[in-house]
Amino acid sequence: MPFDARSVGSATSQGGVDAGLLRRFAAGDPEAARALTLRLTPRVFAHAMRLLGDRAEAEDVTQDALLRLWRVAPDWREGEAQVSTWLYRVTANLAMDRLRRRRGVALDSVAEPADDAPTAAQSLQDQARAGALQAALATLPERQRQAVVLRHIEGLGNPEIAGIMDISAEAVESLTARGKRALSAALAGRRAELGYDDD
Amino acid sequence: MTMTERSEKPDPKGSAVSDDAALDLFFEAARKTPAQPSEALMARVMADAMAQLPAGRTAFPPERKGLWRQLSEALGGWPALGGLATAGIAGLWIGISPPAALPDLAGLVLGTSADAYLVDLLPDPFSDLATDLNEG
Repeated sequence: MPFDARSVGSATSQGGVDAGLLRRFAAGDPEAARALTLRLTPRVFAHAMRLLGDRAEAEDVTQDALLRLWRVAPDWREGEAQVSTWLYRVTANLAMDRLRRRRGVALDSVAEPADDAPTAAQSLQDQARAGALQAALATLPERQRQAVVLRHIEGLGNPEIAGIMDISAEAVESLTARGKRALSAALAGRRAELGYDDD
Repeated sequence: MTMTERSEKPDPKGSAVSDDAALDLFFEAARKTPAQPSEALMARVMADAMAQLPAGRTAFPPERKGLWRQLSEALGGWPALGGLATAGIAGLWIGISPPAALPDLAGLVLGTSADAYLVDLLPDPFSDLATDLNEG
């Protein structure tokens, strides 16, 4: 189901809704369990896919990350962190573990993101560009990839990224700058094919 | 720092600014096409959530029920309460001003009428208290 968190209210109000649902989950409300599953699974899965590029691994990471959230819910202290921030961090940690285990595996064996049926709003060009970007992201060192994804796809600010990655905001800037240069180089050969020069 | 380096090199592919703009197109395309979770994954996550749900009430009422609501629900809700109220009011009315066919029970019990009768309201087939007492 298409779900763009940014299209439904501000990040702060999203966080408030998530926190409220988590509180009700901790009190034993099955409706909150359902609502949280529907809200969070797409967001976590999309992020895991951007980091891993492999559907099966992204599914495992998603299920694992949310299982950890269900378990921590009774101890969740509101106001300390946003649910989304916590999930980004856990998802990335799980993804990084898998990426490190994967090192030495040829990039060819990393599956392309699955062809989700394009909706009416998604052009074939978008799909092609997104696929090219995903392939280019896969060539980046993991931390640069994570920083670029968080900054330029998830749309987070540097302070929040710094919190997720446990580094300074300056370090985030450095990672995103290096990551973008690497992406530009990786995508350079495919510009004409992807219609970039036409825009 | 990096911008200076870039502008000093001959860059056949365009300026740094258009590089950023080009990347933005890719980022935008990526934002518009998030990978969607499968139904199977949604079901697995939901199953985990239900399994981890802390013990609580299976039905989660929006507010605590007051005593009055608990009583009325025990009696069968508003339809029953309506009937009960009607019966109660009717009984009160009959007691205050009984129709001519009914004995004036209050008068009997309180002894306001000239004659006082001892009425055995639950006649026992093996003894007749009223007859015993009346006959001494």
